Amino acid sequence: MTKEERRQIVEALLDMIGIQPEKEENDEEQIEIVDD
Amino acid sequence: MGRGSSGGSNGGREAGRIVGQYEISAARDSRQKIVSFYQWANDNNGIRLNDGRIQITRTANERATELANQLANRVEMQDTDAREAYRDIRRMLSGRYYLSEQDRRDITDSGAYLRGSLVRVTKNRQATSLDSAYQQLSSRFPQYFSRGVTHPADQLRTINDTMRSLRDGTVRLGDRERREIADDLRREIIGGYARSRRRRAS
Repeated sequence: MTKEERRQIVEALLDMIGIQPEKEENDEEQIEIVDD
Repeated sequence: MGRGSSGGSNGGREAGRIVGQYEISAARDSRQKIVSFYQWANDNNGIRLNDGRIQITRTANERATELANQLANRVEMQDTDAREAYRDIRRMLSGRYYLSEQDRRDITDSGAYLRGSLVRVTKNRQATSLDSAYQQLSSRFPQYFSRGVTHPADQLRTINDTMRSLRDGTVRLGDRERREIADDLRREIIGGYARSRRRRAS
C-alpha cells in the first residue's frame, strides 16, 4: 500500500468520525508521551 | 484474520470506497467514542500543549491507541484484484493437503469446520502438507498470507478467511497496513484535540 493510499483511508475514516485531518505539510508534528 | 505484511502496492484497491463498507451505526459509535475521549482528555489534562508542542500522558495515549486500533480493525476495502486473486488461489489449491490429527484437534469443532473448508485436507501423509501449500501462497501473495502464521490450523483458517473475503470482493487490511493506519489515526486523533485547543487559545 502506498503512502497516498494509506492517507486516503485515514482521511476517509477521519471524515466519518468528524475530525479534520492535519494538513499534509504539518503531518510530522511531534507527539511527546509523558507520565500521567 | 491472520493477514501478513504488504507485498508492495495493492493497485487494485479502491481506498476511497471504504466508507461504504463502514456501517453508519459503527461510524456514529466511533464518533461518540472520540467525543468521550476528548472529554476525558479535557477533564484529566491528558493532552497538553507545551510551547506549542503536543504532550500526551501514557494513559491518554493508550486510550487513543485503542480507539485508533478499533477504527482500523473495521476497515474493509473493495478490491478489484480480489476476484482474480481468488481464482488464482483456487487453482493453486486444487489438491488435498495433509493435516495431522493433532492439528485437527486444534480447530474448534473441526468436523464441521473442515466440511465447510474451501481447502480440502486429508490424513494421507503422502499428500503435500498444508504448511507447504501455505508457504507457496505466502510467496505468491505475501499481502494476504503472512509468513508469521506457522501453525497448520491457523494457516487453514487464514486461507479460508482470505479466500472468502476475496471471493466477496472485499479485503481486510494486512497486519502491517492496519498498524500503519492505526498509528496515523492515533496521531490524527491526538492532533485533532491539540488543534482544537490551539484554536480556542488563539
